[in-house]
Parts: sequence; structure tokens; C-alpha cells
Amino acid sequence: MPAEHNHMSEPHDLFLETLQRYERPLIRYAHGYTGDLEDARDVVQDVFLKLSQHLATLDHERLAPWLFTVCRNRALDHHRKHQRLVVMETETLDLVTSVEPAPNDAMEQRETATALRELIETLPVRQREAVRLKFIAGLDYQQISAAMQTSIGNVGYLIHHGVAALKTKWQAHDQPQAVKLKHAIA
Amino acid sequence: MKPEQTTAWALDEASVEERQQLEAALLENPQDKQKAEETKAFCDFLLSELRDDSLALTETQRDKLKAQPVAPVSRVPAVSRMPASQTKWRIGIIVRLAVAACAVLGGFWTWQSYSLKHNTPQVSVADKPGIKVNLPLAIDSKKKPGQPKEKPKKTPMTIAMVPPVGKPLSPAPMPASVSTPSALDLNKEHKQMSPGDLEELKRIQDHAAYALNFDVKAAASLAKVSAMQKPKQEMAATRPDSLMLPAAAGLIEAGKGMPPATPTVALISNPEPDTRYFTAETPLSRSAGKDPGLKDFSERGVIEKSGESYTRIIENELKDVAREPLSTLSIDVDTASYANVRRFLNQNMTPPQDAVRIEELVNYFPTAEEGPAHEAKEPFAVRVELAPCPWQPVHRLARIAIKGREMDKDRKASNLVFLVDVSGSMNEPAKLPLVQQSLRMLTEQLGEGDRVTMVVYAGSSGVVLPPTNGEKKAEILAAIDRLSAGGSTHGSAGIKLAYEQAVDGFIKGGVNRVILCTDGDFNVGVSSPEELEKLIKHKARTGVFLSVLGFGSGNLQDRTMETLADKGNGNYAYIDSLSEARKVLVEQMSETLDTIAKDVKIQVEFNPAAVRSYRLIGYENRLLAKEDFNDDTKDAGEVGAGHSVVALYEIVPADLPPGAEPRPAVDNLKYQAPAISHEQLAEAAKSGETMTVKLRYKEPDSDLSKLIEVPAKDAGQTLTASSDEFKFSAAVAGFGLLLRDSAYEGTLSWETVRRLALDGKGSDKLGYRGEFLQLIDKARRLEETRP
Repeated sequence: MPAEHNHMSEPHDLFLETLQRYERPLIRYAHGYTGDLEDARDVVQDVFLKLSQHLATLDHERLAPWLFTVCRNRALDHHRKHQRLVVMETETLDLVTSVEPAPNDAMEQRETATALRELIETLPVRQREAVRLKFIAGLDYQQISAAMQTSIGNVGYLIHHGVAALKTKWQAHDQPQAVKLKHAIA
Repeated sequence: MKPEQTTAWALDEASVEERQQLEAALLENPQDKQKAEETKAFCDFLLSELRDDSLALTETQRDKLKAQPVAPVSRVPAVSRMPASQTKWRIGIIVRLAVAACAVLGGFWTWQSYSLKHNTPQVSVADKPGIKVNLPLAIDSKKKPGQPKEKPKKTPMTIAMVPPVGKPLSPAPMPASVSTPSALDLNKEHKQMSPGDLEELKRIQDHAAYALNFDVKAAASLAKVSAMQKPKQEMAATRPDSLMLPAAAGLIEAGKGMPPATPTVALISNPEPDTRYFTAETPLSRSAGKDPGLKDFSERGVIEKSGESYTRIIENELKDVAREPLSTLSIDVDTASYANVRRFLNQNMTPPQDAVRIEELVNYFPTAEEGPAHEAKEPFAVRVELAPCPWQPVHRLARIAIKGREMDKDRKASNLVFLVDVSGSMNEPAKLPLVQQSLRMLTEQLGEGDRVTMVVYAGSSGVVLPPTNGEKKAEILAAIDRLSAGGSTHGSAGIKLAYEQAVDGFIKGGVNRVILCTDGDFNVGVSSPEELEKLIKHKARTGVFLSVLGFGSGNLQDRTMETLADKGNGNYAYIDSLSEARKVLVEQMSETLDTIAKDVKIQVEFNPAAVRSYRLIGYENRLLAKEDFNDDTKDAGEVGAGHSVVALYEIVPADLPPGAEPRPAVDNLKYQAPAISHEQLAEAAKSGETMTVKLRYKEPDSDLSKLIEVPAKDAGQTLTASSDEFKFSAAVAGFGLLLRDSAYEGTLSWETVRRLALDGKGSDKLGYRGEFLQLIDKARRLEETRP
């Protein structure tokens, strides 16, 4: 007990440190789910509040996986709630698709990062998750494996295929002839 | 060396050992080395592009967090404190939401109670005042949650508003010739054990069976009261207000004249005239009060709530037959709204009002009625049935049912293989769920000679539905419903398997087709267009055709799919919505799927001698101008083989006692004769018909429309005696009215809807109706627990 008294401020320091270290990665990561900065902020604030309550009982080695797992769950909850409202009836869908430019046109106008994020969205679920944790959250393989509750080998596999798919898509996206072809078909 | 290791290396994730190994291996193979370099460059590119540090918490949020106390180690209370502060934070949100909700609801209730207060007495003054005493009873019996607060206020108010004795009645809105028989009718009920009494008994049975309109209890108690006060004079005395008024006095006199031999019947039928009046009055006065303002409110409400998405539905209004004897509409075979409503309810949410399109709910359910025989000249059977309207028992509900001819026998037998991409990327609302709906639609069209196989592919591929006869729709639909997305996409394996299945079940001279539903993203196995091309070219030689249906956006690999369709003797269509799916799978595939008639329109002419006003239920966005009916250039809905389409009209009979309705929307003209003269009315009455349903349609290959005319008479059928299909359609429409919180829902209760649906369930081969019953319970719970 006395030993702990000496370190009374330690949990709070750790908390501040974690906040400093992971604030932005978490926001980026949450933003990938919510698509809205305000929502992402709310989610991350929630994550840190939860951290403040659980920090003492957490395995410090597994702090990052814990943070991103909580963050994802919160973000997904949020997304689910949100998604329910974004249901369009067929008429509206028709309108939207006819008015909006084809996906590729729209993409061309966007920033590289946004385009990349869009591409990540198109990956299969697990790959997408691993790629997000790697490139957006900046975790290493081990942390990802803990967050995704899978083996490091599997993380390697997922990221490899995710990256390979992204690369192909990115090249297709860059190639104007691919775009033209789609126009011709449409 | 595994390719994953290269990526790990590129990301600096490889161990020292692995790195050395790999770098050594790369030195030996320059091609691999280049690839690895590329990967690394791309990874670096990703890392630099995706690390956007501009996204951060706000200063306030950060400061708040920094000040956040951290729960210390190993203290028991820490555990209990955790949820406390957690909830506090949540409570903040909940409180804010609750305040907002209260503000909205408060506004709503204030408005509604205002309108009720101010409209109820108004109507009572304008109408027969003698009946007013009964008004509170009718309101009491309404089972609308949230209203009880208003009850006590209303009783004294209505009584206070009863006009002074002897005030002349407002003139009846209907021609005298029509209203007289009704008066006769009423008096007849009080004479002998006549056929009229029998009818009355039947009506009471209806009420009891479906809890129509007012509580059976209320009726019973009323009967009891009158039973206790046996001397007729006393009975009259209990209604002092009525006594003063000529019309009501007439009723009571009729009561006095009752022969003593039939006291029981008299007692049962005695409350009846009363209920007839107040049932006609209360719901209408309620709707009259609710209608105009609520519309404005709901308009704003819906848009504010979700910020998007639903085309607003303005309910069809009661139309005066004298002014608009024709009602014209295009048929609608869509069913999307039902699926959408179901989704909301299954998520324990009340669907937005404008998401509820009643005609789509009603048409979702295939009817058990027989279509016309194959030899029949006309491709449809048209049936009209009339019975009391469950939400306005004094009104009639007309159900017009159109049933398309079943699949022609000579249609080519089809051997279809659905090849469905269920990889993770399909896990989006516009992808797999749309695929499922599309396939369901296609399945509905299939018949006995057809065979369906379903193959799915993701990381691996497999047959999820062995070759199944098109008749066994339940099995096929169940397999479609089971589809769920996840995993990678091994497209080529799926294609191979699908073709194998198609070849196995090859029907000579029939249609042999693989229908591929995908977003086109093949990321495992053969994925380059060249290789796929080779594969598909090879498969096309088997004589199996290919239809590629592309779904979703963003990840759509047009090129891949176009190649597949082009080389695989096929066609390619992009499905972005259900209507598109219908277009492709129902209209354009008419070689495989029979469209039996196109541009189908309905026009109903009401007989003013029998119908005072009418209201089309649903079909708000399908209305046509009356001239459009005979105009063959005007497009309308298509009917597939075996399709059933139902249109419902709520009808206000012309012989309703005057005053049972709110004031007409427009007064009679002062300087012109009414549109229909009494002579014309008398002439129209001779036919004995309530209405004539006209149907125009074109043969699929013709541009000239044909006409079907079906006159309908009202035999006075009770709800209990109506057909199962009638009951079920009425239940579904009622379900929609309640969900929409319609101004015309009258006295409808969930219980009535449930009983009707239960009685109308029929054999329910596909289980749709059973599911509907569950939805009723869900909706009911949601509505009843609503604050």
C-alpha cells in the first residue's frame, strides 16, 4: 500500500500521457467510422472518460489495443444509431444516383487522402479494419493482433492483401483510361 | 518467401532475422525486389497520406479530460464510482434529448388538445345536437394512449355546448329523396323481429368480433342501463336533451311503439342507433380537428427529425362523389415500403410516417385468389368486395383486387443459377440487401418448370441452394434470406462452380442462365480481366448464358463485369435501386419472365345514389388525371404473371343519416343547380350499383389498350362474413393508418388490426402473414410505450 501512495500521481500522469499520445490517432480512427468530426470527437471523449475509470485495472502493455477496441465499439454504436436514419426510399435513391457524378468523377475532385480513405472503405471488413489500425491509427502488428483478437500472422495476411488491393485500386483510380472505359459503358 | 512478409518488411514490421532473410532473397531476384520496393513506396505513401494530424479534440474537450480524475488502483469504491460518473455523462445526453422530445411532443399535444377542444363542440352544434350527450361515451371507449388526460375536460364541455332547446337543425347536406329511406330504415329497426333486426344482430356480432369502434363493454353497459330502466318513459327521461329535439324525439317515439313481445331485441338494438350516430360523429370530428394543422406539423416534424430522405405523403382526402365521381390511378406493384417498415420495427423503431406507403404494404402480400383461366381472353381477374370499414363502421370499405393470369404453360422452362457475391465488400445497404430483394422478385416470377440453384462466393465458394423447383418458393426465398456478407472475394472459383451447376441442370431448348450479382471486386484467385476473360469464354461454350447484375457504388468494378458479360454471352445491368432491379428483372427479362400486361390503370366511377364520398387509401403518388385513363400514351404500372394488386376505398354511403359527417368542404352553390338533379339520382339509384371499376391494360407487345368493366353492388355484407383476403387487406391498411398516425384512422385499435389479420391469415404458405402478425405486436408495443 505505501508503495502505491508514492505513486499516487502516476495513474494520472499515465492518463495524460496516453491522451497526448493517442488523441489524434483515435480521432482519425473514429472519424473513419463516423465520417463526421464532431461525432468522432464525442466518441473519443467517451473513450478517454472510460479510460480514466479503467486505467488502474488495465494492462499497460495492452493500452493501445484496448483504446482502439473501445473506440471502434463506440464508433460502431454511433454509426449504427446514425445509419438507421439514413435510409432512403427508392425514389430518392434514383434521384441521388442520377444527379451525382459517377463515383470516379467525384473521386477525382477529392484530395488524395480522402480518396484513399474511400478506397479503404471498399475493402472487406477484416482487411479494412487491419488497414485502418495500421495506417490510420498507427499501431504495430502486435497491437493490431491484440485489438483484432487474431494472430500476428493473420494480421500480416490481412494487411498484405489490404495493401495489395488498395494498390491495385489506387492505380486504377489514377489511370484515366479506366475512367473513360466506365463512361463508355455507362 | 511469402508475399505477406514483403509487406511486413515494407512496413518495418519484420523481425531482424526475417528482414535479413528477405533482403538476401530480394538481392537474388531483381523482379521481386522491384515489387517489394513498390510495395514499400506505396506503404510509405499510405502512411504519410493517412496520418492527418489536423483532426483533434477541441480545447475544451481536452481540458475537461485533463481535469478528469483517474480512478485509483485497487479500491473497491472505484468500481462503483466508475459507472456513476459514466452515467452522469450519459444522463447529460439523455436529459438533453428528453427536453427536446418534450418540447416537440408538448407542442404536439398542446396543439391536438387545442384542436379537439375547439372542434368537437363546433361539429356538435352543426350536426344533430340531440346525440351530443353520447359523445363522451364514445371518446371514453377509444383506446388511444396519451389521451386520458383530456377526457374529464371533455364531458362537461360537450354538454355545455349543447345548443339551446328548440334551435332548428342545420339543413341536411343530402337531397331529401336519399335521406328519407334512411329514416324509414331506422324506424323499422324498432318495430318487429324483422329482417332489419337480424341485420342489426349481425352488425353487433361484427362489433364483438373485431372490437370495432367502441368497446363491447360500453355497448353492454349501455344495454344494461336501459335494461334496468325498463319503463320506456323513464328511459326517455334519462336523455332530457334529446327530448327537446324533434329528430331525437322521433326516435324515442319509435321506441315507445315497440311491441312488448320483443323486449330483448329492442334492448340490444336500442343502443344501436346511438352508436350509429356517435360512431359516425366522433371519429370524424376527431379527424376534422386533427387534419389540417397536423399536416403542417408532421411536415416540419419529419424533415427536422432525420434531415432527409422521405418524399412526403399527403393522404388522399374524402372526395365528394357529386363533384368528383371518378377516381383514377396507376397500379403499383412495389412492395419496398413494407420491407422498410419491417426493418424499422425490427429495430424497435417507429418508422417515419412518410416511409409508410399503405398500398405497398397491402400489395406486399400475395393473395390466394384465383387468377383467370389460361384460356380466358382477359389477363386479369377483377374482384370487388364491400364490407364495413373497420375504422369507421358506418362507412364501407371497398376492396378492388386484381389478380394476374398465372404463368403461361408454354413459357420456356428456365434453369437459373444465382451466383451471389457475399464478400465483405457487399456488406452495404445498397448491395447485398438489394441483391436479396432483386432475387426475391425474380423468384416470385418463377414457376413449376423452372429450376433455381444458388451459389455464393466469398473467400471460398459453395452451393447454398441445390437445384430447386421454381414452385418451392419458400425454400428459395429462405435461402436468399440466409445470405450474409463477410470475407474476401474469390470470384473465379464461384464462376466455375456456378457454370458447373448450370451445365449439370441444363435444360435443352430452355433458358440456361447464370445470374451473377456482385460489386465486381474479385480480389482473390483469378482477378485480372484477361484471365477472367479466358475463363468466361471457355464457359460460354457450354451454352449457358450469363447475366451480370452490378450492385453498389464506390467499389464497382465495371470493367470486370463488362468483360464478363461481353465474353460470357450475356448482358450486364447496374442495379442501384429496387425500381431498377424490377425494371431489369421484371420488364427487360420478359423472355424469361412473363409480363402479362403493361400500363395497367384503374378508374372507378362511384354512383352518387349509393356513395356520398370516398377516399382512396394509399396510392398517393400513383394518382392519374381522369383523362389519362383513356390516353394510351400515358405510362402506368406493369403486372407480371400471377401478380396481385389491391386498391382500397373507404366509402361514405349516401344513406348515412345526415349530420353524421362533418360539414361538406364546399357548400352547395347558391346560383346554380346542383350537378346532379334528383331525377338523375333516382335514375342512378335504379341500377343498385355502388360503383363501376374500369381497368385499362395493354398486352405486352401492343400499344393499344383494352378495357375491362366490373360493376359492383353492395349486398350489405358484414365484416365477419367478408372473405379472408378482405379482412387481411383491411388489417394491413389499418396497420398502415395507425403507423402513419393517419387523420383517418378513426377508432381503429391495434387489437382490431390483429384480429382482422388473424382471421384473414388463410393458409399463408410463404409465412408472410405470420410475420405480419408479429410486426403488429411489435408496432403495438412501440406505440403503447411511446411517451
